[in-house]
Amino acid sequence: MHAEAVRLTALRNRLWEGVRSRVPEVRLSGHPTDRLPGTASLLVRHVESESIVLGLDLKGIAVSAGSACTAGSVEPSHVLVAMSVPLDWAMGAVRCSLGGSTTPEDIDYVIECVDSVVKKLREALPVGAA
Amino acid sequence: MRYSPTLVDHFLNPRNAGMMRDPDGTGESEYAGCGDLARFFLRVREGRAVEVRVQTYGCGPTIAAASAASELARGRAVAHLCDLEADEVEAALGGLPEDRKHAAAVAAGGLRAAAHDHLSRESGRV
Repeated sequence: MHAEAVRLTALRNRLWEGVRSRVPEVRLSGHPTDRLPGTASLLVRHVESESIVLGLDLKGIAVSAGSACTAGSVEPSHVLVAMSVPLDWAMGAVRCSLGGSTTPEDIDYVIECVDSVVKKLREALPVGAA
Repeated sequence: MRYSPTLVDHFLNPRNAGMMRDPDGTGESEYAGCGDLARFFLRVREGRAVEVRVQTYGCGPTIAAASAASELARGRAVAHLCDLEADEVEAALGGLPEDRKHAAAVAAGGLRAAAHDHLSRESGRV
């Protein structure tokens, strides 16, 4: 089990480092190291999370909007709000869950897709929205 | 898939996205429940919207609805846009799930606001 945790942590870190290097205005919610090894909650500023979920779903990637406790809701996660995450970040919360079958190639594909989906969504944003 | 192929197409390929220089009418609508917003810009000639641009923040259906609404608006008389209903936008998308009906309302509301803005400007010039 420990070996799996180490493997997932490395993949999760690969995901975060890849997204951070390519996507502007994105944050990782929660503690950077003291966290579950297989999840990454990304906060994408000024982009609504459901649109990211849909865009990634159409590329064959399943992620969830918001935190685990608010999946399926159109409102921002009450947990993120309680953590004082500003609304323009909290509304763009996307949760990625890694598992036993996740490979480095999967992670690289997700990074590429997150970059392209967010870029496209930001192209048509109202200036000063959210 | 809970969304129609037409909706998915508008989401992946949003029409008329972007701003407009010196628009003849500008308007926006926001859904208070989740902050979805659509802002429309109109170029008007002889009382018709000859060019439409739209900026959108929100869920996939809202982005798609704004795209579909921008296509509905092109060539239409501005006076008629003042009466655009959400039902027409939803029909242009091939339907919306119950929990995403607000997407059509946001798009229709934004277009109506842009149309009203243009007419207000025109009446101010008279």
